[in-house]
This record gives sequence, C-alpha cells and structure tokens, in this order.
Amino acid sequence: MQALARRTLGRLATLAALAGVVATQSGCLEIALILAFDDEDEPDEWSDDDWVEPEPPPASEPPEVDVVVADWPPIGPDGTLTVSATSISGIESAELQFLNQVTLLSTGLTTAVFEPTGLELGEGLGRLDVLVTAVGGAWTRRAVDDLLVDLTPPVAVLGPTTLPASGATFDFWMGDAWVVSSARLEFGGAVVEEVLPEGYPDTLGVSWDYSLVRIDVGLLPAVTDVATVTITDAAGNVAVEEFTLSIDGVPPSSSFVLPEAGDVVNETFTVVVDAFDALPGPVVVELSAGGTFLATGMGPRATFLLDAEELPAGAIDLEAVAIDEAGNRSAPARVAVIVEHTEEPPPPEE
Amino acid sequence: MRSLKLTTALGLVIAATSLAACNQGSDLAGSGEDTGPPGGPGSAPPTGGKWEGRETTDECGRSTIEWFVIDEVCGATDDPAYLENFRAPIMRDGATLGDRLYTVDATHLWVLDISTPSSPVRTALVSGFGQPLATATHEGRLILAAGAEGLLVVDVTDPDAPRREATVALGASGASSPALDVFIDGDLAYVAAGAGGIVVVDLSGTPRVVRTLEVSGFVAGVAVAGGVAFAAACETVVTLDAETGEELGNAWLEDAYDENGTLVAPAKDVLLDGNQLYVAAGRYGAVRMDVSSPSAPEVVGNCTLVDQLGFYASGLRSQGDRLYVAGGEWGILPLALDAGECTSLVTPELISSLGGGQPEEEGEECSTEPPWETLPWEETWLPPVQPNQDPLQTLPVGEVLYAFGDATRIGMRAVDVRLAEAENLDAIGRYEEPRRASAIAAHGTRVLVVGREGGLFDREGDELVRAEVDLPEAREAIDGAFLDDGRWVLALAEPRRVSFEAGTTSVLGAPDEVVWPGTLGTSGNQAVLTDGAGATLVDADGGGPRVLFSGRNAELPASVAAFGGTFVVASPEWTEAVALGENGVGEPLAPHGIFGEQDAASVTEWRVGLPRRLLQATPTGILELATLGRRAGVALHVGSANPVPVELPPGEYVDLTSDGQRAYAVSLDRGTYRSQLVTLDLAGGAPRIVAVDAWTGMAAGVAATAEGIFVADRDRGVRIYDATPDGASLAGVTSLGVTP
Repeated sequence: MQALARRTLGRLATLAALAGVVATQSGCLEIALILAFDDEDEPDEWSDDDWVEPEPPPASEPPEVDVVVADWPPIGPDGTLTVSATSISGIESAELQFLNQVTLLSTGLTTAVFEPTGLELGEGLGRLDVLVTAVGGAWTRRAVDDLLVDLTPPVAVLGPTTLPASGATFDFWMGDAWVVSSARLEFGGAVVEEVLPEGYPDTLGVSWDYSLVRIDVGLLPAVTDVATVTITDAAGNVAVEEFTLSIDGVPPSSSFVLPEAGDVVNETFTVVVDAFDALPGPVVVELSAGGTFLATGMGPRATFLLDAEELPAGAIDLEAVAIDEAGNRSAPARVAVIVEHTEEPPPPEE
Repeated sequence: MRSLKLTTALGLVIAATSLAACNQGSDLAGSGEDTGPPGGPGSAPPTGGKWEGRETTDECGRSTIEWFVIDEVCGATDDPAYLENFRAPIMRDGATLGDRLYTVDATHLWVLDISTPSSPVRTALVSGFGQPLATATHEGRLILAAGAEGLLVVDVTDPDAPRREATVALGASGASSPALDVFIDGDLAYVAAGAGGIVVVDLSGTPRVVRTLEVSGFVAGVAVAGGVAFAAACETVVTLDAETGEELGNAWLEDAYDENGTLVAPAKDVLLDGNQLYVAAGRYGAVRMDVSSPSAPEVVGNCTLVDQLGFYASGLRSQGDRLYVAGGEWGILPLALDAGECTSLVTPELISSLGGGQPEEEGEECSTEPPWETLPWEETWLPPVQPNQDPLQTLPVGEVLYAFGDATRIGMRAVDVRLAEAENLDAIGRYEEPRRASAIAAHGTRVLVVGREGGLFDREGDELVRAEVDLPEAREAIDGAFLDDGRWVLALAEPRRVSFEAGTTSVLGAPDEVVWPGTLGTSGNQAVLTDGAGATLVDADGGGPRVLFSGRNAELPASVAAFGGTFVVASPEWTEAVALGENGVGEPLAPHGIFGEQDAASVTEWRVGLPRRLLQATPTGILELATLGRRAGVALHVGSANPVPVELPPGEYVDLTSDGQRAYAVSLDRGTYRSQLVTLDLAGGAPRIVAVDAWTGMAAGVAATAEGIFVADRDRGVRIYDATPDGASLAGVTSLGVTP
C-alpha cells in the first residue's frame, strides 16, 4: 500500500515567527511567515530551497500539530485533510505547501483545526509540508510524503455502440489519471454498475489507470436509445458521457436480383444483391461462390462485376449474406448458376 | 488567481487564502502519460497460431484483455469466425497429379506445372472450391477438404481447368462439421471434421457419406491402417475401430495445457509408421506414440527444438525412412523414422502472452501492469521478409520435397522446392505469389507502371503495349505519376529523389524519410513528395526542391493531392486533411467525418486494420478516402462545408483516382487474395457507389483517363477497364513478365 496512511506526529520544535504578506514574482499572492527557529527537531528530508527561513522565534509555546490524511479515498476537489493544532499561546495560522501554497488563518484560540481542500492544494502526487504558527511566533513543521490529490475527471472510452442482441458484449473502458473507481451504465431502463475494490494500482504516477467494463448485451434491452455512462474516480471526480447505443435484435435480409437461377454466366457477369436492414446504418453484403469468398459490397443494392473465368466451369451456387452495422447476419440468399468458360486461359507465368 | 473564503469550523473563524498553481518548491509527480486503454497485439501471430484475447482481472480489480497465441486449428473451435481465421496469406497443403502440383490457401486452388520441379510455373488459379484446407488424390482426381463446403471431388482431366465433380456435405451444420483434413484409404476418404468427428466417405461411384465416427475431441487430423483410425483430436489422440467407430483407447501428453488453460500441445496432425504414430503438436514438435496396441496407445517421447520459439509443428509427412516436420517459421525439421528417435519427453519453451496479467512481483499487492505498448505499425506496414521457410505442411515426391507456407507474418504465399534426401533439405526452387506491379499512373493512353515488371506502356485496343523506349527506373521506383504535360515522374529511394522524363533528377533532403507508395503527387510541371513534416516540391524545369509544411506531424505515410494550385496532404491518423503552407502553418480542411479523433487514437482499431488515407482532386473538390479498423469511407469536400461521408465496402484500400465525375478506388484482401475496383459517381456532390468489380489478384494502384481505367495488379500486371454507366467494364488484362 502506498504511503498515504494516517500520520500522527509529535511535537517538533520550539519556534517563534513573524508573519507578513509578500507577493511573488509569479504574481501569486501569498502569506509568508518570516520565522526563526532552533533546528533541534527539524523534520527529515526538508529541502525546499524556496522556503523562507524563519527569524529567531520570540518566546512562545510551539503548537502541537496532528496531520490526518485518510487512507481512502484519495483527496479530490472537495476532499480534505485535517491539520489539528494546539498551543497555549494560541494558534495563528497554518501554511501548506503542495502544488499550491495555502495559508489558513486562525483567530488565536488555543486549539485550531484546518481542513484544506484538494482544490486549494492543487493536483499531484508528492510531499505536503505543513507549518503551523502559534501566536508569538513559535511554529511547528510537519510533512506528509506521497500525498495524492486528484482533480482530473475520469474518462470513458467506448467500444462499438451498435451491437447485436445476443452473443456480444458492450465494452468500454473506464479510465482515470490516478485511480478509477466505478462505472455505471443507464440504458433503456437497465442499470449496470461496476465498482472496483479500494486500492491503489501500481500505475499510480506512472500512467493512467484503465479497467475494461464488459456488459453482456443480454442484460440490455434491444432498443436504440440514449445511454449514459457515468465514470467516477476514487477521489470523487465524475465524468458523464451520453451517446446513442443500439442493441439490434433484427438481422438484415438479402436477396438476389441478378442473376436468376439457372442462368448461364460467362466472361464478366453482373450480380445484384438487395440488402435491407431495419436500422439506418450501413449494410455490408458478402458474396461467395461455391463456398469461396468473392467480394464485399454495400447495400441497399450492391452491384458486383465478376469474372466467370475465375470460377470452375459447371454448376455453382452464389451465396449472399447481408451484415448490418451491429454484426447481425442475414440468412444466406442463394442462387444456382452455370459457369461457362469462353476465353482462352491466361498464358503460364514466366 | 486569488480567492478568499470564510468558514466556521469548531468555533473558529478561519480565513483562507488559496493560491492556485504557484507550484513553488513542490516536487510532485504527475499522473503519467495517458496512452489510452490497452490495445491488441501489434503483429500477426506466428505461423500455426492465432491470437485469442481473454479478459483477465488483477488483484486490484482492474480488467483488461490479455492476448495469447493459441493453435489456429485446435484453438477457439467454437468461435463463429473459426473458419474465417484460415483466410491468411499462406499455402496450406498440396498434392501432385501428373506434372501438376495442386496447392491450396483456404481460398484458391493454385495449379503449378512442375514438369521442371525446380521451376514451378503457375498455370491456373481458381476459386469456387469452398475453403480448401487440405488435399489428397483418388484415382486421378483431386480431393479437397474444403471447410464448411465439405469434401470436394475435383475432376482434373484438363489439369489447368479443374471442375467440381462432387460435393459431399459433412453435416447439417457446416460450421460444426468442417472438413479440415482428409486421409485416403482405398476408396474411402476419412475426413477430419472437427467436433463432427471423422466422416467416412466412399469415393467409389457417386461419393457419399457411409458413416461418421464420433470422437471425444475436435478432430484436426486422421490416419487409418489395419482397420484402426487414429484421430488427432487436439487435446488427445484417439484410436477407433474404423468400421464400428468404437473408441479403442486414447492417450496424450499430461502437460498439454498450461496454467492459463491454453492448449500448448495441440494434437493436430498424425502420421502412422508401422506401429508408431507421430503427432504434430505445435511447440512440442513431433510426439511419438506407440500404438502397437491400439487399445492402449502410449506416448513415447517427442522431438522438438526446446528454445526455438519459431518452431511450431503443424504438419507431418514421410518418405522412406525420413519424417518431415513442417515447423512453421523455423522451417522443416527432418527426422529419422527409427527406434532411436523421439524416445524421451522434452518440454519446450512456450510463447508468452501479451499484456494483462503478467506475473506480479513478489510482495506487491493490488498492482496492474503498465499500459500496452503503442502498436509497432512500421513492422506491420512493411513486414520483414523471411523467405524460404515457414511451412504448414510438406509433400515429399521422390527426390523433391515441397513445402507449403511462407507465411502469415510475411503476407506472401509460397511453395518451396527442396531436395528431400539432402541433409539440410537444400532449396532448389520456389514458387511465390507474384509481385509484378506496385503502382500505376496514366496520361491519355500512356501508362506508367512501377514495380518489378514496370515500364512505360501505351494502350492499344484492349491491351497495353510496352513503349519502345525502356524505362528501367520504373522497376526500382516506389511511386510514379505524370505531369500535366504528359512527362512521367518517378519517386525513388536511396537516395530519396524525384526523377523526371527528359533527365532531371532532384535529390531531396530529409534522407531518413522513407519513400512510400501513394506519397507522390503532381500539379502543372511540379511534383510533390510527402514526408512527416509536410512535403517537398520539385519543379521539373529547374530550381531546387522547396519544402512545404503541414504544421503537424504525420506518423504514417501521407497522401497528397493538388487542388486549385494548393497541395493538400493527409496522414492516415489525422481526421482532417491540411492544405500546405510555406510558412509552416497548414490550413486544415473540414474533418472527413469517416471516423473521429477518439477512433483515430484507438490502438484497438489499429489492430483490426491500420488507418489508410487517400486523396484525389476532382473537378468538384478534394475526395478523401479513409479507412480504420474494418471501416472505410469516402468524403467529398465541396466548398468549406463538412462533407457527408459515404461508407465503402470493407477492405485495405491502396489507391484512389478520378476522371470527370467518376472516381475509382481499389482495395485488396491479403487473406483471400481478392481485390476490388469500386466505381463511385460524384455527380451531385455526394459520392455514390456504382459497382464493385472483384477479381482474384492483389491490387496495387489505379489510374484513370478518358482513355481508360488502369489497375495495377501484382498478380497479373495491368487490368484495363472502360467506363460505362454501370461501372467499369473489363476490356482486357495485360500480363506483365509473361512471354508473349
């Protein structure tokens, strides 16, 4: 499990501080604390060169600080962590450094609870530094490693949305920049939901987190309607996608217009196949002769030009199957013809 | 940005000043790259196998698709598309009758004259024989196991004009009883019919089914001797009484399935040598079984190549004391048929799966594998050629050994001819599907053919006549075109250059750029050749090359067309074409609408079919043809409005041209060796399909003028059509490379 567990820390240092307001070169207005401290209990790994070192502290009582981050879920836009501080000198402020630098002010009471939101902290995976200052300038510094704040909404990547009513699945991927959590499909009165177990995938911070959602079309009504997919990530970000989903339970039909049964075909001959489907999507016509695939065309009327010399002389069945956008196949249409060879065969290859 | 918020919490008034995106001193990790959902395998499966995607779920609950190589005959046998998987560019079997070799590729019957065995010459190429998968002979007739069509008896009295003499359907449902292999014993044909068991057909008189032997398993191969039938039933080998069908016994390898449930030792072909049965078993090679007691068959051992993953046994044949194991991409493994061979069991290394649930590192919980690697399109686009190996089956005929294959991963059918008794089976000849022409252009009656048999031609009547002046450069070129004044222009590689009629050649910059077919265009006396950044413009009458920029990167070879004095380019993965600008800012056209941005980025769609893009200037506007996955469509740009796309028949479209209000697109299907010329009517501003001309061959390009429509066909040469109201009427075929 990633290091996002609750961190309850003890007293660190005796500090004093003087607060002031400065503006940075980037235009970000911030409340900076100008502090002095003794480094007796400075937290490990502090290496922020940009941090303004405090002036020597005046005599006051440094606060006791607890920083609490829930194991689950990760912090989203409205999610919070809790910074609890106590000092007999009174709590003046808490300053947090993540993607954003955030300063939260108190009223000077001896106990204060600060709950910065993910939106205030900004998005990322890494270290959060917390500096709580007591009235009189004493301060305590705390840190949280590998904190995750997720502000990015998840995504849905849809597979084919026109499907047959049996023997198929409606597939889509739920994805998130950090940790994806659940998917919900609402379609024609049917609701299908998939919730992933709590946990942090090892794609965290490496690549997006994707999971396949595969719904048997048998669970869905055979209609064409607007479907809604709602994807939620673990931090509570939500994405909603509406699209037209068609579960087509009616296969197309196919029939030969040309040639007619018993026709003798030779040289280049024409085959015309009508193919219809109840839905407006494209209909593909697959044509074969003697059980061998020959050509594909498009309905509603597909015209093929074929070379009789490529088929064996004699009786042969032509067969046409129409395939609609959902993949439904028509019953094969058949017509028996007689192939006649009239040309000299091509010369042998060199 | 600054915000101020007042809240009340636990009796405290907290003033918060929130400052966004300052990022001062923070050292945060980003979420990592969004590569999209995992796609599929980026290449064709090895010979003898096919990909199967299985949904897997990891400990963290994430579901994905993991891709396994399964046997093409014994795997996923209940898949509705089971038989369609055999539509691949590879020869599968063959039989000789007289001086003809009849070989099959699951779509066509190829007739080769082997009077001179080292120089096979094709004399016929015929379709209409079902899905021919395996061959045999009976009393001068050809017998074909033809998939769902059943067992076919073919009259080859005229050896180059085979005729279907009889059709024997194997069951009520062809899909459940396909004819996969056939063994002849006297007048009886024993047909391996998958789940339908073994179907026995009496070939004397009118061929008819005399009985069906039920087998517990999926029968892929069969042999019969002494009244006993030996069935390679994929997950086992079964011995049966050939008369009554009573099962006598069965046996197979104990570790035929791996821990993922994949059948890694498929029993798919059998060959009997006395009381020893040899079984082709994929990576396990040739498994030897003692069947001296048919009721108690025993596995003796196997011969395989443990660490050669390309070795995959699919077929067995023997001659004299030699066994030939068709070992897929590794080649042919000759073995001695004696007591000392294949007497111990060897476990080979296996091909690992792709994606999904790779073994997790110890101690990790709830982790998933990193996302899929981007499709290696270049490998698929221009696959490496590994000729002279890769058989699915062999046929020893005296001194000669024919090997059928070569290969699904190469995309080329071939029959190798080897010396059957030579230690290393020395190759002495080869027949492979022709590659005569690779591109074409036309101006009036003048036709420029690019490719192995290329040159300059003139249409005379219904044929093309080679021009008096030879053009050897056309045989080395990648693409060709004509300038408006009728001069030819060729695009060549190494170095990347453009050559014009009358002697001007310009070497272009960007030497690392590859010259692809379909990337050369012309306007006036200028030629333009696309590249990743845009295109290079060359004037036939002087001046150095000029670089034009699209302002975006083309990952795949971009098509080009000239319209209104402007060159328009489009890379297959883009959803909109771009008019080239010299200042580096391309002007996009309206999106073609055939597929969207999300589809264009879908690795899954790319796996089904690589995107392709073709552009053609017409009197009405730019015509775009785009394909992705199984979808193909055209869109005609009229003014600046969004074009309305029109669906085209699925296929791999390789070229697009137009003449007046007619446009012509050619596509091919490598799996079935079929091609199509689609005639489109552009009148009215919306393309309409007029007709589809389909033929056996491999389309490579199309050009149209008022004098005809010329289709480059790798198989034959050039097909010549005349435009008619009903489409394109075939006037003739000019064979290239054939002695007149």
